[in-house]
Formats: sequence, C-alpha cells, structure tokens
Amino acid sequence: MTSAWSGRSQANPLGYRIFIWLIRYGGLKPAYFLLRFVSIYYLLFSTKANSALIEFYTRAKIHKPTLWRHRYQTYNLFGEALIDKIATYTEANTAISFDFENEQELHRLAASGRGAILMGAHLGNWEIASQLMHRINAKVYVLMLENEHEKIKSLLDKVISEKSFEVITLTDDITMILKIKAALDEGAFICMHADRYLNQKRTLPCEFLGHQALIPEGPFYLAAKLRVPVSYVYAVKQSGFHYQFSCTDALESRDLLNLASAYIRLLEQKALAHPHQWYNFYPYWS
Amino acid sequence: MNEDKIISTINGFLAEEFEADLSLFRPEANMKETLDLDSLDFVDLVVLIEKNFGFKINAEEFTKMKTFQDLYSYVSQRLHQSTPVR
Repeated sequence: MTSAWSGRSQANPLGYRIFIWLIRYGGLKPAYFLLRFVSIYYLLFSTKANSALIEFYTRAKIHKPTLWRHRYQTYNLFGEALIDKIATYTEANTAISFDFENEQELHRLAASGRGAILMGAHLGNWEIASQLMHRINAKVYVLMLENEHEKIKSLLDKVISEKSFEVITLTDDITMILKIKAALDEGAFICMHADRYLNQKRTLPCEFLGHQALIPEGPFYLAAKLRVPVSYVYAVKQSGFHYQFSCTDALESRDLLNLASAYIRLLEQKALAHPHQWYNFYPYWS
Repeated sequence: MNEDKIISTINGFLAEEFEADLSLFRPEANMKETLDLDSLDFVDLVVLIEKNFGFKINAEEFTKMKTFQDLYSYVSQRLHQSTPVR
C-alpha cells in the first residue's frame, strides 16, 4: 500500500562534511569514487528502498528487475546528483555541463510577467535544475520541505557561494499559499515537485506505469485556481558530467485533471527513458 | 460598499464555495474550523476575495485573520484603500 512520504532525509552531517571536503579539494572524481562504497552500503542495508526500487523496475519493465546492479546504479546516480549539486553550489568544479532544451519557453514566460509554476519530480537532478534558473530573467522560488538535518543545513549554508533561487518552506497552512500567490503576482517562477504527497486527503489517483498511484492535488489545484501557466521541467544526467535540462511548452487550464494528466504522462516517459534516475525510495503505488 | 453589503457578499460566496450552513457564520466563530478549511481551500478564499472586491490580498495581514469578523473588518478596511487587481 502507498504510504505518504515522510519527507525526512537520511543523510548524516559527517558524510556531508567528508564529501564537501573531497569536492572542494579533489574535484568530482574522488567524490564519485568514495560514493561507490556508500552506494554499496545502501544496497546492502536499505531494505525498504531496495524493495521499492525493485517494484519500480518491475513496473517499468526493466530486464531482470531484481538484479543488484540496477539498484546500485540508482543509488550511485542519486549520490552523484547530490555531489553535483554541491559542486555547482560551491562553484568547486566546472566539469559539469548542460544542454538546455526549450529554454526559450522559460524566457517567454519570464517576459510575460504573469508568473509560472514549474513542476518537476524526484527524477534526475531537480536541485541542479533550480540552480540553472540564473539564466532566466525571473525571480525563482523553490517550494521544499525543511527535511535536512540542522547541521547539514548550516554546513551547506557555509559553503554555498550563491543560490539562484529562494526557498518557500512546504507547510500545510495559509502562509505558504500566500507566499506562493504573492510571488506569482510579482511574475516569479515557483518550482515544485508534483510526484509525492504529504497529505493523503488531497491526492489525485492516476495510472502510472499501468498501475494506480496517488499524486498530490496541490500543485495542479494552485495552477488551475490561480490561472497561471505551468511548464514541466526535468534535468537528467546523460553521461559522466553532462545533464540535459528540458521544459515543456506552457499549459494553462482551469481543469486540474488536465494538468495532472499531462504531468503524469510526461513523468511516465521520463521514468521509462531514465529508470535509474527515479528517486522515490518508498512504495509508490496503491 | 457598506458594512452589511460586505458581510452578505462574503457570507454568500463562503456558503456557496464551501457548502457551509449560513447559520454557523457568527462573527466571533473561527473561520477555519467552521468552514473546515485546509491550505488549498485558502487558495479559493483568496481568489474569491480578489474577484469580488477587486484588491490584492496582503499576505501578512491575511494570516492574522481568525474569525469571520476579522475577515469582514479586513475587507472593509482594504476597500477604503484598495489597489485594483491586475
């Protein structure tokens, strides 16, 4: 049975400290090397995540879904995503490169001054995608849960040179809604994920990879009610240090189900194309 | 718009949108509890206020509102210093 995502990160401050040091003084390659041992640890001891991933690979019809190398690859790519994020934030390494597909759509949305919601998922490197937003002439807010350990947050704050976005903390009260509304009124972009829910009362059932899953209603509800354009954005790793960022042409609809349906179809395509970059480590289907 | 008209307009759209019983709308009643509002319902509330009264919601002031009377007073006050909605 699907369980609501707890929102807690499993990272620990010492691990972060070691990786930050390695990235700053050794670059990406030594950090990737150390990561292999961390991935093996998760492969051996993260029972729940392992079974959730096997379920996902099975639904995605990957050849031999129970093979350990699939899970190892996912843990490794997930770790690389975190390392690349830190490297980008700290400007420690310029080896990371990007393609930006359909970037002109974001420039068009920014120029319209109407604000927009950019929806992504826990697939690929969403945080590096947010950091790429400095290329767009619009203020960017990222909606996220305060899920990191306090020590990790202060550690990252010390090394981050400059963030190209501001954070709106994900809560279940009106304060968050009003911040989003105010930002959209200013013509800003709001980036949020739409593949995990915290409150099961506000979910939408949808068919994902042939089986029923629940996605949060909130992102689609906001877009439909506030009548703002929506673009679905992803940044997936294509090779060693290279990412492809893509965004769809903007959609506008007062019908949240239309928006949700378009979202889930694209999520399905992305998940099938990049199955090892699926980072929902909990039972996803109901 | 006078006070009575403001109250009847607010009560009208609240009752319709949130399918609530008008008799429960006492000025001192807690709006969130009476209407059983969650965070997404507040999106509707904000949109309805802007649509019906033509001003933009000020986030800081709006978060302080607890009762129906708070909302009536807020709208009344804003109407006297309104900024048109884009």
